[in-house]
Amino acid sequence: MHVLSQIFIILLLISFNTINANEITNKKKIIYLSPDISIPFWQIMAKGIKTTSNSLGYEFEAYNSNNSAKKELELTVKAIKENVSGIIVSPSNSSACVTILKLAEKAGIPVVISDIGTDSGKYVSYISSNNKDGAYNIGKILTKRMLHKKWNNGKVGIIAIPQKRLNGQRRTAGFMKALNEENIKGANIMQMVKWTNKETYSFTKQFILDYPDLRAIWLQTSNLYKGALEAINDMGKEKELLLIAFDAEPEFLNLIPQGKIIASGMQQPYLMGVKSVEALNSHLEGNNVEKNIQVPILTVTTENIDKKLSIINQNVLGIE
Amino acid sequence: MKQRKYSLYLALGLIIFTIVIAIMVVNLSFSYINTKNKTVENMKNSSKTTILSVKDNIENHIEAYAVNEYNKLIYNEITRKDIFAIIIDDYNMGKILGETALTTGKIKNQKLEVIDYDPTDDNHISDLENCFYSDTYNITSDSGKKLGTISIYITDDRMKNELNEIIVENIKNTVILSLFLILSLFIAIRIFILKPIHDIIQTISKRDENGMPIKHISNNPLIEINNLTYSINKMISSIKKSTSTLKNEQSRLKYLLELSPIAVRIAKNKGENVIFANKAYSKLLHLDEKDTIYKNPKNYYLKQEEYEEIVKTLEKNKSIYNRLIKLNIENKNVWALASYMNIDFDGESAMIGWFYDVSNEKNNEKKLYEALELQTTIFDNSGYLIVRTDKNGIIKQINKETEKLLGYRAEEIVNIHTPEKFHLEKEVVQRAEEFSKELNKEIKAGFEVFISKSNIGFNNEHEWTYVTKEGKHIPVSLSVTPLRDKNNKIYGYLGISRDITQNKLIESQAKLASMGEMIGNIAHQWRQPLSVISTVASGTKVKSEFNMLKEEELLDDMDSITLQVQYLSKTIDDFRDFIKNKNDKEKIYVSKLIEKALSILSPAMKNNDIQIVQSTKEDILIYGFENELIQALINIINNSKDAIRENSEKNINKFIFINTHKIGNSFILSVKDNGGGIDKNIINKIFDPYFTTKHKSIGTGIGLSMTYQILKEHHNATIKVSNETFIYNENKYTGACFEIVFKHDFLKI
Repeated sequence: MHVLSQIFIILLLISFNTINANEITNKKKIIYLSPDISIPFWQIMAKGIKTTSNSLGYEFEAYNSNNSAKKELELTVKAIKENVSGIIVSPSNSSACVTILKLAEKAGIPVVISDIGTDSGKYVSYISSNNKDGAYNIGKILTKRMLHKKWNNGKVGIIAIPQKRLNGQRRTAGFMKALNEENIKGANIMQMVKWTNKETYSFTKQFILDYPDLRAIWLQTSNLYKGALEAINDMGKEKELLLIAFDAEPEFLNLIPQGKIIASGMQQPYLMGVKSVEALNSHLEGNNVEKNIQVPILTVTTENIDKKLSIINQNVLGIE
Repeated sequence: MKQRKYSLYLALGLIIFTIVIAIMVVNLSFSYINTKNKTVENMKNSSKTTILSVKDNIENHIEAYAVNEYNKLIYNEITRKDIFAIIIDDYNMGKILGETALTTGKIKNQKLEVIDYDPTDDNHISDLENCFYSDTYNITSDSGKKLGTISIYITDDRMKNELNEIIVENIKNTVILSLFLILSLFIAIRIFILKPIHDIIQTISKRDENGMPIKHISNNPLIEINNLTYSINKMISSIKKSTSTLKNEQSRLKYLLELSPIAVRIAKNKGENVIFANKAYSKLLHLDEKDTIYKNPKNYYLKQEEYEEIVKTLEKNKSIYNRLIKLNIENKNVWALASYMNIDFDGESAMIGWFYDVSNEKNNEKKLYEALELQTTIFDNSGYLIVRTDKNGIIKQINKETEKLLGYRAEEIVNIHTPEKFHLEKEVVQRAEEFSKELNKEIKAGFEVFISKSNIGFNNEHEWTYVTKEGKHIPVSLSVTPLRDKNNKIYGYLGISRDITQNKLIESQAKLASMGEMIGNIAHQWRQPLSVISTVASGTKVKSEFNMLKEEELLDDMDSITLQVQYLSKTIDDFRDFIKNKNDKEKIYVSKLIEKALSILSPAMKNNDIQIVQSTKEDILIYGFENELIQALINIINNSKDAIRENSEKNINKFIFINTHKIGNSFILSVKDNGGGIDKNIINKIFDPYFTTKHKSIGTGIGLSMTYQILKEHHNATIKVSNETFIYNENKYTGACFEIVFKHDFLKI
């Protein structure tokens, strides 16, 4: 009896340990903190993260801060309290990311930043598009087209994402470098505030009115292209203005071949999501992770869109 | 002690440096305090401004949950400004975290790098607690909701640095300014002061044999230096003049010292070595002048320790005046009145002494003392009653004899009474009447009676009656003499009297003796007439018995008897007159006095075969006591008779010469005999009372003394005696000559 009792207790302890081990394994979870999950770019990135996380055995959950700093912080705290394995964050802005990093650091949770960078703070890796090179490349496409049209003296207006963002700054820098190399002058930079097509329309119209020698407009984002196209059309400048964009919308697959948008530097959000999870996983496994991982931007033009369509579908549009 | 000398440069440099340092220290202190206060105020204001400027932004960031944004804001503020830390308590973030607040902020580390504030870091907490200044403000939303707090912390490091910089800057400025001022001053002093002073020194360094500058100092364009040179030139001129004067004065002074009757000597080496002495000093020490120099004066002091004490006193820088010292000069004591003091002689300290020989004065003083002692002794022990009064008669002093005789103690009458106190009142009244008549002016019965004669220079010696305290009457002979001051003004009177009770007794004895002699004379004179009467009467009786008496013869006999009786009667009258005591003076001729005296003495003269040789043509009317004067003459003539009887041989002629004659205003009555003269050893004593050379049966010794008294005291006459050798009728004789001199005051012819 006594021996039986001892065997029972030992078996009981072993069974408890097994349960605990299972519970710990279940806790492997990656949170993706997205600024606005309604935006396709973040959806595609989340898709890449989810697919990769799951493939590596992590639970995945995407938090949508809905461009609210408060919500972003609350979700950060929530993730911390859940004691997740890691956080992949696309912060609402690089400044807000600093607070997120501090909170995570204090809680000992590793963070990988994807796309939008941070002003400071400790993180595992920063996965970003090579915005500068990407912008430079499409800038080169534009200047080449303008020179071809002998619009050497034409000016280029930029409707920019907030230049407070690191990616915005890099995009502008790369693009301006390309303009400078061909001595093409910029008209002005108007930053988007409301993030609406109406705003894009308004900015475009304003450029056209203010700068008679305006020959091109560069949209630093993709989703509000409609406003710009409408303004160009309304102003009757289809033949006199070139529209160039950044990132991609499914409609681009038609607009670029049509020449309404002559080119776009397309980020690869899906690939970025993949790279983010890989980096986080590598860190959790105790490996050294490259601090800055830059994902190249696809320069898609009327001429090469067909060739890059499969890449565009997966890495840009997230079509698995 | 040698005085330490300083360079003018060094002294002025130090003064300027010290003054500049002092000013800078004050300035620095003021600047330090001012800067400190200002800095503190600025810090407070700055912190407040900073907070107010960032508070709104932070408020927005808190509302926007932009922690990093407000941290960047804080970072910028801390980086740009002198703020140690800004800490924010974010209540919004607190809610998210499930805490009160999220405490974040920026703080500076030791390297002054701005780092994140860690509320769990003890060092950070400690640093905040040690901050010099801190303040906390609430952060509220526009709606008034409290969003958090912002705290600012400031250290005083910057203030300290600023203050240190001020100190360093001030010190630097002080040194530079001091050096600049000193250098400037040195140059200025050299050009404007030292150079002119050097020129002045050069000029006054060239001096003549008297040490005086040869030239005057040249003028200088600088007013002050010119004033200095003017003053120095004036001073040099003045000193030259003074030196000249001083030389003359010194020469005069030395001359005066040399000739001074006061002995002067100067000694050095603590008064042990004489370096100067004048003639009077040599004379005082009975030395040659050269022998007084380089000698120790101590040797001449009778007590050498006295000089040592004098030197000690002088060494205490005190002077000595008019000290009586005793010197020993050639073994004789010399008194000197000495004064000593310290002087500077030829640039060295020395002791000067003045000595005035007062040996004579000391001797005179001794004599004066002895004289006073003698006077006092005489005053008290003369046997006379002596009374001194002031000019009003108040008694000022009486001697012991007076006290003894009158029974009064001095304090009972001195300064209280006049001599009337002890005079017989009725006698004073009577004398007042007499003196009034005599002086032909009214003399009041009082003190005036005693002095009236003295005041006009008359002999004022009279017999008076004193009344003792016990009421006893004492006859005295009082002589009053006025006391006169230098201006011959009477300031008092001296009454000298003697008790003549004994004299009176002797006088009456002498009178009795005279009466006895007188009776003998009467008997002698009466013998002849009585014999005639007896003879006539017995003849008449015989004739009558024999009836031979004739009437004519009887009448002749009766006439003869009557004549003899008249002679007897006259003799009795003369006797009676002489015996009768006349108290009143009367006018009388001297010749009458001689006649009456000889009338009384004629029997005695005949008995002794003495011839009276009379030459009395000159006559005088005097005012006196007749009987006293007759008595005086009788005494003198009797004295001559006795001398002749004792000394003359039987065979020679015996003469008494009586002469009168006038010499000037004096009338002289002389009585001279040839009795051989008076022994020289006693001639000066014959007027003394009780002195006699005669046998007791003959004289009482009072005769000539009484004569002297009668003449001198009662009649203001004098009497003197001398021996004379003379020739009379070709024979040489020697005898005594008495001369009575009546003074002119009594000449009343």
